[in-house]
Amino acid sequence: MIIRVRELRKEFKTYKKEPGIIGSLKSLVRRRYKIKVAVDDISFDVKKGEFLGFIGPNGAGKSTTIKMLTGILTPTSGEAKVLGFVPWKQREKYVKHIGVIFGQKSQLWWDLPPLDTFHLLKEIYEIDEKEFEERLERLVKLLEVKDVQKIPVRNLSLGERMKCEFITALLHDPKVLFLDEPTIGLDVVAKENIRKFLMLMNKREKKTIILTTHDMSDVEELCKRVILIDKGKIIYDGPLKKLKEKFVENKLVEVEFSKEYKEIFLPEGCSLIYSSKYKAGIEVNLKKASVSSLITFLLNNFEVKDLSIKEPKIEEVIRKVYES
Amino acid sequence: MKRWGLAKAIASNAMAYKLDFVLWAILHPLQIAVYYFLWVSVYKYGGLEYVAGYSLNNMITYYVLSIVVGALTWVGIEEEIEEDIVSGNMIQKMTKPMSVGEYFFFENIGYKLLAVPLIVVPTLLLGYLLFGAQLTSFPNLLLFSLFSLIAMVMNFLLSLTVGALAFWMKKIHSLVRLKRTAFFLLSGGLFPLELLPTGVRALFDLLPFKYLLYVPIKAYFGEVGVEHFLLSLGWVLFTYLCYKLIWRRAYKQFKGVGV
Repeated sequence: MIIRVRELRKEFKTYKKEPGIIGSLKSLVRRRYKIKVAVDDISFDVKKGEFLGFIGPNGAGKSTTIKMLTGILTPTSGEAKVLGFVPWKQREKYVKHIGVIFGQKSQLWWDLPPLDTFHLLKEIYEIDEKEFEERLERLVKLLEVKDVQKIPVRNLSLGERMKCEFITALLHDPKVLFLDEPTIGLDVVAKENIRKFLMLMNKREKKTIILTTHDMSDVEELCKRVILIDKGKIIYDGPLKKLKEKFVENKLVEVEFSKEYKEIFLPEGCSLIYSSKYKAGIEVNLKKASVSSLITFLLNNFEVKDLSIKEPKIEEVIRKVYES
Repeated sequence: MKRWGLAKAIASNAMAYKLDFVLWAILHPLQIAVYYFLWVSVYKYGGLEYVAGYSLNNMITYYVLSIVVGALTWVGIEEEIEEDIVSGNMIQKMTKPMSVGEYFFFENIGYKLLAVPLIVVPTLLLGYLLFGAQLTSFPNLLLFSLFSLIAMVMNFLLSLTVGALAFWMKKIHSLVRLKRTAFFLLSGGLFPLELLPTGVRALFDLLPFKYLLYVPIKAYFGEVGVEHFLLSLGWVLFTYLCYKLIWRRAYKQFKGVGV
């Protein structure tokens, strides 16, 4: 077990202030505090080589959890061990073994080319010269930033910058990667590049990756396991597939016919959502019918040219989880 | 030194802001000129040969050295800490395998490396050649370096301690200005401490601040003893404990905002 979290809890003390100058003066004299529970006694384990997605709406407690696991925040109560370290107690020794990216916060020097930051990190992590050169060369090649790394950061596009952020997080060859919203604000192509790279890091280099995001397509492409968190509590922990199975009641089957049908009759539990000349969309209620029986039915009764089963989008799944 | 490379890397990165450094370098010789003309007129119009035991040449030497010691030992990282907290950069520093204090220390060493060619050398040259500052013996120069080093460490620890208050206060601009003004007076930056009335002087002697500037300069004049050395080490230890204590609390209550 590479990460072990038990009843981890973080409370923030905030104070209420009425608006305006009078409110400010009042709050100087007497402050009314309010305790906000950001993470509410969560427990989970992560095995070596897992690719875990932390999902949930804004303010759910994803980032707070990551910040405790990276040693930045001290929890109010509970315990956690990552690679055998208690992050917030043994921070300086521990962070050598992890890579961290906060998508909204750059660690590149704004007015310098990324290469200068890489060299600074070489000193900070005390990386051996030869290892540093080898790793940098490999990462630069994988991410295709050979020229980009020599241009001042302020002149880079967000996608280029993000690639360089990934290099900063990987130069010291960490075993575990914590990524907080790493694809935020990126366009489709840049996102795809980053995802491919992450897949490679996880599969080939066996890095354990913990990712928080509210971009569900990230999770769908990358993570086998997800933890769904809301109001500081874990409301689902398991394979992405099961999450779908549990909360998905309908599936959509799209058919293309080789000839025109005036009337489409269907077995029980299936209903026609739309139909045009040669095409039809059929929804299957999984409680009453199955996709395979519908397909058999269609093939027996119609001349089918093409057929596809649409998986439900994870956004819809999550909406269902909240509704139930 | 294990971390030498880090200091060098930070110094070379800081050179991205070239014009700022040029202005920084010009500022100091300008300051000597101001002090020079001020004190020349004090001695001349007062018809004085000595002020509080200082000849005009002693006085000029004092100010030239005060600029050198200042450039080598002054640390003002409070607002950097404040900005790091507000902007969220503190989070980046906390995910590095060194304490935030350690990072700032080597960053500071990096800047001091730049200060030597940019400020110390030009100021001394100008002081000796143009304004008639006095030379000193080699042992005194060594003592001067030793006490300057102690002053730098103490300055650094005090700056980190005051800077840590930003974890609670968020904005510490006024506090930093207050500190700067107080230090300037209390350490003997404004004028040599001998100029103070006896009672006030006795009070200043009890405080640690004279070790930041006045004592290193006195070392150059060969006017320090073992007691200065021991007391200054005591104050370094004291400020170190303050720094450790406040940062431990700061880490604990850090809310990790700004991201």
